[in-house]
Amino acid sequence: MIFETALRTTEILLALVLLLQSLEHVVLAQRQLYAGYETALREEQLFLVRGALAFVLLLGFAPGLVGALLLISTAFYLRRYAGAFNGGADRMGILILICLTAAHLAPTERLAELAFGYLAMQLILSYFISGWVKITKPAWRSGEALRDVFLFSAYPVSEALRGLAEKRRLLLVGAWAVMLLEVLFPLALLWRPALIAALALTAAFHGANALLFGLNRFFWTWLTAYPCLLWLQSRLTGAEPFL
Amino acid sequence: MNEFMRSLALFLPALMPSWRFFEVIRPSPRIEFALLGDAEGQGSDWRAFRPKPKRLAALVLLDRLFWNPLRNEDLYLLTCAEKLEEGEDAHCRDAILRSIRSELRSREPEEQATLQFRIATLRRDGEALRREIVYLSPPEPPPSPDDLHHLRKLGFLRRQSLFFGGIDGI
Repeated sequence: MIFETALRTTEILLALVLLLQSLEHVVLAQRQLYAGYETALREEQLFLVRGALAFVLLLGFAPGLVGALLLISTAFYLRRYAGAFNGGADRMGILILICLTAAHLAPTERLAELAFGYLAMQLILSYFISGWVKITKPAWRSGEALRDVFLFSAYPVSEALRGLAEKRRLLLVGAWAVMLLEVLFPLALLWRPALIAALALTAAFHGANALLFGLNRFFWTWLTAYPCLLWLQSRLTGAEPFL
Repeated sequence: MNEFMRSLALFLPALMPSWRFFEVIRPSPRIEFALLGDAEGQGSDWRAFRPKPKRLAALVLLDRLFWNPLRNEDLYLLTCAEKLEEGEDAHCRDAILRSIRSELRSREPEEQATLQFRIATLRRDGEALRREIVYLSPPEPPPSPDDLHHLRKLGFLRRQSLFFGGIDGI
């Protein structure tokens, strides 16, 4: 994927993610207003502004400036929630925004590529480190950790899913599939078909987490970052970009 | 300058993330609440806040792939509950109380009781599940009638969401 295409694709996806998230926050703020919390009005206004900026980003007008304005609004958002609202998913969204804005405002093409390359590096690390910390833990290697997630963690979206805690063989296979996919992910950069396959598998992994645990923001945010990997591989290996 | 540095510091976890997801499965918090007769009372009839349904239809799961505000709020409250486990945190306590109060108002508009919540953790001990209460909030009285009247006058108490049919509908 060529640099400009990857950048614009990521921009469009991020704009859609931020637009949807902003709408969710507006509705949550309105619930609090209805309950009598007047300070929720500031929250509603903040996310209406963020939603409007996200829409402008979607249209592609002045992405550097819009990105900078979104970052300023992000500072208010982080102060409001004393950190990211949705943990890792929102932190990745902020990282994508930082790298996109830096790429647009960079004075040279080389610096712009460095900014976007930093995002690609963090995306690779997100899988590798996540896999590494699991594969080094006996509870994950035995499948017990994944069993505990279904047995008593707050993540399963319905009580019926807790029944999966009894399917120990399935969970053992599932745990190892996730760990190997994550730990071996960096190798996928060596060969274009391997990268496409790895991204399809990781997307399926995020999709499963979204359906089983309600982690929908992870799904959309991680997919938003995928174009940078397709570009990086073309850049590093000299492979023909297919877009 | 201090405010600026504090804001900048909040960006650091995004700029240099740790990516250590699910490294250890810790005891899992559950938020429960009780409605009190008055501000001096203690909760006795404890209910789970937004208990999970027994099952969810496939279409609902697909819908939540795109639109998921309450579940995303639950995940935020989970983080707040984990922080309260470690020690008193006014911001997190307030966030949980506001969410509970908002949920109650959306379902029972006339509900004006004093509210208290607690956090119970679940963990596995061998093959048994152990439950432990790790936090009890002070009672919070409802917004005063004057506050609600003021907000109603300003048109801020609206049942209709800006973009969608009704607040209950989310």
